[in-house]
Amino acid sequence: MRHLSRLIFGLLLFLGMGKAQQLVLAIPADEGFLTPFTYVTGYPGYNLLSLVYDTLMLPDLNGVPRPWLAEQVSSTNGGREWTIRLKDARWHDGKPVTAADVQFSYEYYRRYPVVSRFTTAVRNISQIRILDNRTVQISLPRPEATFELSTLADVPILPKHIWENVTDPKAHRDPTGSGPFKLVEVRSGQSYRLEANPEYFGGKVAPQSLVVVIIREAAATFQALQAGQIAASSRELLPELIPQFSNNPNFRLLRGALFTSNLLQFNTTQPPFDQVAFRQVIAGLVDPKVIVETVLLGQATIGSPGFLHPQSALYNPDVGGYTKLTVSEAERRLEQLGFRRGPDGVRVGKDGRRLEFDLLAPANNPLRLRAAELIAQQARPAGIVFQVRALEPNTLTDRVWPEFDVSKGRNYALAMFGWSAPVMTQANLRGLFHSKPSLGNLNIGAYRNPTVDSLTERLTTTVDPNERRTLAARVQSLVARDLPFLTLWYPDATYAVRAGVYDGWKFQRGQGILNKFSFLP
Amino acid sequence: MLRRSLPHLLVLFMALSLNFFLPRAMPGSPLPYLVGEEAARLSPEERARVLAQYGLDKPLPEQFGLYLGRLAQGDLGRSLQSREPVLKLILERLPWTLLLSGSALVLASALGLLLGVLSAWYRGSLLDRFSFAGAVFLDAMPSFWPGMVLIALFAVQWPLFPVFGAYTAWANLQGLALWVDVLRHLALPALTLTLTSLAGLYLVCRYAMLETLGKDYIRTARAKGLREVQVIFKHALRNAALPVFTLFMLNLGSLVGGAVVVETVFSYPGLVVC
Repeated sequence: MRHLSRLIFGLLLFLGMGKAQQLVLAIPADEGFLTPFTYVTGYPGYNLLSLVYDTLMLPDLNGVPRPWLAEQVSSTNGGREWTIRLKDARWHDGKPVTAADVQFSYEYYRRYPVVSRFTTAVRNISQIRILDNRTVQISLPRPEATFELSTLADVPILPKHIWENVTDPKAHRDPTGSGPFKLVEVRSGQSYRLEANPEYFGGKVAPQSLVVVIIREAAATFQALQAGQIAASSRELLPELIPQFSNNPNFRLLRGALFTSNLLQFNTTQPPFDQVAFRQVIAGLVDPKVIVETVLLGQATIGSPGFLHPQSALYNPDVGGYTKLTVSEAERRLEQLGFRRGPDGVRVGKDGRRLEFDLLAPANNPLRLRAAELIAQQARPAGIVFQVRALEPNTLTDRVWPEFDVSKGRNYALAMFGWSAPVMTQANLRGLFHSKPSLGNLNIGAYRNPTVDSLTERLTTTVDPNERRTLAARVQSLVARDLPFLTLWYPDATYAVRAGVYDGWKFQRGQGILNKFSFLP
Repeated sequence: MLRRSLPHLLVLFMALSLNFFLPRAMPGSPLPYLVGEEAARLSPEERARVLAQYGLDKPLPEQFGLYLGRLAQGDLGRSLQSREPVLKLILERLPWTLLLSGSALVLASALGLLLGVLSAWYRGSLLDRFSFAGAVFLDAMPSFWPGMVLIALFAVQWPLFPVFGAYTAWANLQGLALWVDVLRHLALPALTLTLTSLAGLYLVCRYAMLETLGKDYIRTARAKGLREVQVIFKHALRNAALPVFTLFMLNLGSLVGGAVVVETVFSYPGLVVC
């Protein structure tokens, strides 16, 4: 019975995957129709989109932007003029990709700002000129250090002949791109079918056909993987499942770093978190290593006090780790700061206020919740009480970052928070640390340091890589001293893929396995 | 006529109002739902423009009026998730939900009725005790659990059935092969839903039968010398059927919404994902 059923299923799998060179991949949610205006999430939605559409540049496996649809990218005038020469590429309908398409696309995203990711990316362009059929020149009013990464390597190029008469981009349903795959079928809520583009300029695309199915439950995804009904998933393995898959010869594991961050965020306008010395005591008591080992079962990289990931191109190795304090050292420092033990062991400040605070954590994120509890445990022996409050994530964001506008005030003392990968990959240190709300638009803790302000301002307009590294290194040292937040960990991702079904998977640093390189030689 | 439908209209209005006001009463901004995680990168002007695009900058009463007006014209708006018109999504997915819940309801009713009758008839027997305990156990279970167990057993351990979906997405099957494929995909989710809704029907049927079997007319029927099968199915079941039928009709009402958890576990493309 068991053998027979395995045989039948194996046969089905062979028919489904082997013969037709079809690869079945699972994602956790519907990503809408795959055009730049209708895909849904940044991951894996944008990654799927990028299989159909191309960008002028593309981050390589290490995250460094390289010319892609462009043959050559050069900048002059201190990074204000960008000249881009295109490769000989074609749209899925056979028409050539031209300079007019590039000009049209960037202007179109300005005209129809429906997807903010591209709205902000093309915001600072002042002019795009066509030099010849395959060359464009883009002018910026001021140099922009991350222009390659956040614009050239991020904004999909649209075919002008298809989009020029489209006035409602959200309703448009024509996925003609220039990418390695053509989107041939979308079944809402169920699956996508993509077919290899035999004419792709980037090389021979494998497999012939890619079926992306939607499996909403994490547990069901991994069951489907074990049963061989899918070959891979955009979901990372849960830490507790890793041994089960690594011991199974049917699977190959791909590991790598992700660039999302997990932070203990301080509101630096609220006493005593407005004192650097107090924040340093907390940093000395909290041990990110213990959190990574107990909560993440070791599947994460310990946070750097300077925020940037050790694998980031701008990471400053001199920053080192957090300075640990023994409880007695921490107590001595707290005494010096005027916090004395009260009758119940909780410390009280000179103003009579007890060191007792709510630590907000998102209710839907068990890792951050458990980390918050550990932090509370680690702070307790020194006489500091953190009450962990699990909040619905929207409510938490509303208290920490009302209306996503840092000038709208804040209603918290401490919170578990985190940023998505682009903040790290684009080294958006000005956004994180600048004290002026219009520039420091991610500075939710109201951190204020004039030196950091001027350094991060220079960082955003400095194009020279060496100079950038020096500036970023200084920012990281200052941040590691001032500690506007504690960077606790960056997750590591492990993906399990069926061995033998398809072996081309590649891990893109900070992104995972769903990327163009996984399907190219 | 009007007086009779008035309470219904009132309930409908209250449901619509709740649907409108509840999300707006929640803390937090609607922006993450509208533009995803990139909401954080927008300038205040861009944020205002997005809100204006969806009419969320207007005063609440005006928004409510617009909402009711559009509903009256059959316009349910667009899904925030897939950006497709909601009506289209519902029409696409309703058949799958009806297929799943409908087959589970038919199966659960048939099984519940049969087991209920047998249980009542052989009251106190091993079968009765086993079914009764089983029903109480099933009734207490959260509905995702039997789903996960069935997947682990019949999709992974013995790979007889698929783990997810309503048909094989990559096979492009036609005709009979498609039907067989759809039924194979239906098997585990329908069985899960059957198991979790079986208990209620079984218990009601069992009690109704037990009560009926003690009635005088059953004794009379037996005294007339009728065969047991006739007594049970012609006399007892017909009279015991009323509460069972009532429960069946009540379950019919939950056809559309009842399969939420099961659809999620099996990624069945029903109404859940709209």
